[in-house]
Order: sequence, then C-alpha cells, then structure tokens
Amino acid sequence: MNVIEAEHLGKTYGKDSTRVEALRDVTFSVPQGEFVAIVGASGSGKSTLLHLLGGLDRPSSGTVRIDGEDLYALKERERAVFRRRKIGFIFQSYNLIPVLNVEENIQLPLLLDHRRPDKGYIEDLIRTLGLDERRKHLPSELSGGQQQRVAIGRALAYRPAIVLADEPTGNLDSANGREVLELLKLAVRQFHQTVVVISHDLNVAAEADRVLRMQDGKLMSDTRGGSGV
Amino acid sequence: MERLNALLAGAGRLWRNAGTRRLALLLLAAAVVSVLLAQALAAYESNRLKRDWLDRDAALIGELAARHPELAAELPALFASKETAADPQAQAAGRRLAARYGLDTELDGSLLPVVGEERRRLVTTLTIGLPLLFAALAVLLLREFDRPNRQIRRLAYALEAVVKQNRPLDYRIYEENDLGLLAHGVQELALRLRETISQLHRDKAFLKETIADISHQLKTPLASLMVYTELLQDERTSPADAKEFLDICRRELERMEWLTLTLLKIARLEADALELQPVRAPLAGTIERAAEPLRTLAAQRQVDIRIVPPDRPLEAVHDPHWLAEAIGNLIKNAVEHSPAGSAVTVRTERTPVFVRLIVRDEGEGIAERHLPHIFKKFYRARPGGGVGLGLALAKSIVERHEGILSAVRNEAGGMTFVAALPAGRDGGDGQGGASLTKL
Repeated sequence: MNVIEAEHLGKTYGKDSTRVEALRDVTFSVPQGEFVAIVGASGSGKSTLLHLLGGLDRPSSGTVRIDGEDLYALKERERAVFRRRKIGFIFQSYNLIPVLNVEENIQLPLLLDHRRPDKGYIEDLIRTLGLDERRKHLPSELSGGQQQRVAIGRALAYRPAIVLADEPTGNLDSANGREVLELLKLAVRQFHQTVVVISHDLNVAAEADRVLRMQDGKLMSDTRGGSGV
Repeated sequence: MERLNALLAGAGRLWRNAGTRRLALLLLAAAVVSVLLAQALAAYESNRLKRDWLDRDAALIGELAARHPELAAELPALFASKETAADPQAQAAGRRLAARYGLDTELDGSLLPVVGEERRRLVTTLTIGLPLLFAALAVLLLREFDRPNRQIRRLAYALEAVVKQNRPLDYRIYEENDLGLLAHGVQELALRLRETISQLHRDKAFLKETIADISHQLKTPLASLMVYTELLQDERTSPADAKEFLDICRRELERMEWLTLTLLKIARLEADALELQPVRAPLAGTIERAAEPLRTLAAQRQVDIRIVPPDRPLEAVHDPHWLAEAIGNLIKNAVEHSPAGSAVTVRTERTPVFVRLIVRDEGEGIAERHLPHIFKKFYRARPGGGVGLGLALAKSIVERHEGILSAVRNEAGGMTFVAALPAGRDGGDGQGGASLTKL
C-alpha cells in the first residue's frame, strides 16, 4: 500500500524576474514501511518537497496523497487536524516548546487533541529514547542530541503513519547523528511507520532503504540504497 | 477542590464540541429573543391598557360632568388620584353600591370593558405566538441535532464497505470534536484491518517461500545421497571407493542437517513462533559464549579473535543463548573472510539509546553492489563457503531483540557489522504492557 503518492508536484515562488521554480514535476510513491532519504545540494528543492509532503505549504501544481487522502483538497482546518494525527515532523532546529518540559513536549500532540496519553506507552517511549533522567527538564537544560531525541519522541507520540524529518542530524555531531538515524530506523521497523528524511549527509543516505536524489528542483534518481538492512 | 476541577474539566470537554457550542448559542439566542418579545408584549399591552383606561375615565368624567356640573372641577382629580383607593369606608360603600348592579368580582371578566378586551388580546397573542416561537426553536434544534447523526450515518456506511469489501475508508471527518476523534479512531482501525490482511498474505507467501527453499536446498544433497547409496549397494564398488562414498554421504547428511535446522530456526524466528527468554545479563559473557566455539576455526585460519572489553561492564536485556548464536555467526563470517595474520575485533559500546555490539574484520570487505542483499537468505557474495544463511539468521535474532543489524565497509578495508539493541528496556518481562514495539 502506498502511503505517500506525489504526482507532478511543482512549486514556484515569486513572479516574472524574481520567479524561482523550486520544484518541477516531481512524481514518486512510497510504500508503507520504507525509510526514504532525499538528498541533494542546497537549493535542490528537497526542503520544499518535504514541506509539500507534510501539508505545510501549498504546491503550485500537482497533488499529494497521504493514505489515499488528497492533502490539498482538504480545508485548512481539516488539513491541520490531519497533520496532527497522521504526520510526525522532526526539524533540524528541534522546534520544542521552551516553556514545556520533556514529558510535556512529547505529549503535546495528544494534549492538543484533549486525549489522555497512554501512560505506559509514553513511559516506554521516554525510556527507549534515553530521556528517563531528564523528563522534567526544560529544553534549555538539554544538549542538542537530547533535544532532538525529544523532538523524535514528539513525532512518535501519536504513532503517526508518516514521519518527516528535515535535516534531523544537521545540528548534531556524528555520534548523536548516528543515534538519531538508528532511532528512526527502529521506528520504521517496529512501528511499521514510513520515514522520509532530508539530508545532505551521505551517511544518512547510506542508511536508507531508498535514496531520491534532487537537483535543481527535479528528481534525478531513485535508487535502492543500503547497508544491507 | 477536586470536584471543582473535575467539573471545570467536564465543562471544558463539553464546550470543545462545536455542536454543543452552537446549541448553547441557539438556546441563549432563544432566551434573549423570548425575553425581548415578552417585554415588547408587556409594553404594548400596558400602553393599550393605559389608553383604554383613560378613554373610559374620560367617558365617565364627561357623563358625570354633564349631569352634575357642580362636580365638574373635582372629577378629573378624583379619577386621576391614586388616593381614591385609600379611604376604606368610601371604597366599602362604593362596592356595596356596585354590587347591587352585579358589578363585583363574580362578574365574568370578558364582560367588563377594557379588562375584557385586554384579556382577549393577551390570550390570542400568546396562543398563537408561543407555539410559533417553540416551533422555530424546535426546527433549529432538530437540525443541529441531526447533523452529527448524518455524519455518523455516513461513517457507518463507509465502515461497512471497509469490512465487507476490504476497501479503504472513503469518508473522513477532520473536526476537533468528539465525533472527529471517533472518526479518526475508525480510520486507524480500517487501516489496521487492511494492514493485517496484507500481513496475512505476506505471511502466507513467506511460508510458501520457506517451504520452497527447504525443498529446493534439500533436493541436491538428497539426490546425491541416492546416487551414492546405490553405488554403495552395488557389489562392484571397491572398499576404498566405498569408504570415500560413505564420507561423502556423511558430509551431505551433515549439510542437510545444518540446513534444515537453520532454515527452521529462521522460519520460527520470523513467524514469531520462537519464545526468546530475555534477561538482564552482562554482554561479556554472551560474547565469550559466541567466540568460544570459533577459536579452533580461527586458529586454523591464523586469524586472531580479539574481544575488547568496554570501559565499564555492560549489561543488556537479551536472550544469551540466541544472541550468542547471532554474534557467533557474525564472528564466523568475519573469520572466514579474513586473511591469515589479521584480527577480528569484537567491541561493545553504550549510548543513551542503544547498546552496540561491533564486529570488525580486516578482510577484503564486501562490494557495494552486494551490500543491500547480504542479509537475505541464501545470498552469497562469494561462491564457496557456507550456504548463505548465517547473516540472515543473525539479522532475525537481532530484530527479535528489537534491534538493528547493519553492515558498513571500513575505509581501511574489511567490514564492520553493528548490532544495535535498544538500551532502555527493563529486565524480565519483555512482553508486557503497552510496548513501544508491539503492534
């Protein structure tokens, strides 16, 4: 089953002399449970692509279907709810809420829906992420690697079908970066989630099941990568 | 205080529903409109009453003034003054006088001037107006009430298609209210159902594949055994040849045995039919257990198995028997691919999230193009050697430990295999509760 289907996606910014075609006619699908890396140089359009896949920005042309739902045919409000429940985001700059502690940040998507979080599951999540001793700390009291792990926890709290990560290892050293990747792979395997990661880091590409290479807004290649996993 | 909080939480939950808010607003509007209408009616009526009363007073004043001009000056004051009711004797005398003409409280109100008309007007207005008001309110309420029912109906039809025809759910509700949450739950359930059905198909296919694998792999040695057994039964075979043939048969049988056992192990692991018995135990012991049976092989090939102890003794939750088998396969693979005089290093490291077991060799490494396939069953990057199951079995075992097995080429040559196990588990019951990793 294809979880993500992108068809003829295009995004153009600006007009006339300032016109920039960030994405051109990008088409691909991702079946459930794949770990996909989108690589490319700066300006190749990979960030734009990720934002379109996540419903964070509107495409100039083309469609994005997540679990069969045409994302941009929904109303803004509906899209927000869809995003909250179906997609987990991990950003390069973590984007944690500074006034909430680790536990609260992780549970945020659930609390926004006024759901009572499954205590056992959150417990397991925090322990697996190695954040047990820091659960009451604020983001300002954590290292970069720890903050990114909190961001991963938040992305996984709702057990969304899709996890989109924009340069998740960008601000981390290689050891922490490795950790983040392994966590994401664990999620793919154990949760049957689908993960799409953007990176300019070749190590990330090496770890993925599939690598999409972007250049100048176009999809240049689509290969099975791999370290054999 | 607890009760108050609970009450507020309950009210908050109620208020969250857009439908409830609309209903509350509707009732508020209805109340306001009703009060306004009531006030309007009261104002109108009292105005009417005032006019009719004054008209009557004027009529009476005129009549009396005409008949008794000497009272004319006092009459308006008498009628207008509120104090005319104050003198009880005068009032009593008046009542007695009026009663003689049937003008007392026994008289039917509708026969009285002013009062009678007012009563009629009021009754008519209320009898028509109130039902109209309620009808309007009822229509609005019923419409509001039916709205979620309409949505529930559509959801129910869509759900039926999912269950009966295995189709995806095509009606979705993305609202913030309780119905939205229910719809989301239903959507997830529908997805899960289809996933489970797919998984069942996959499991079936896997089973067929495994059976095919086993029979295919066994055919060759079996055929071999048949041939050699026939030769052995032939009286023309010399004793020397017979001995050789028996050795061959023996080897084939051992091969078949290993093959069958390993395939079955993998099948049982992947079908989740094998119960691991995880305990919190030092990894050093498990690694030693893995390396021990391979020392002879390593010595033969002049390869040094070097176990590097970690800074601090590392423990992890694992099944020592099975994990030793997995690590053993990794070490065996490394030893078999290492040139004489090189070393195979086994290290462990711990990060906040994972415990890593690292097996590194200095051989020629595995070519890039093979890497995506090395963990597949029967895949051999180079001919000869084993049957191609060791790495597949290791991967299955590591994955049953909820870990990840990966392979990377070393820059300096050779391969590094890393088994990363989640570190955050508590010992004992690995199957309990709302686990991160159980579906």
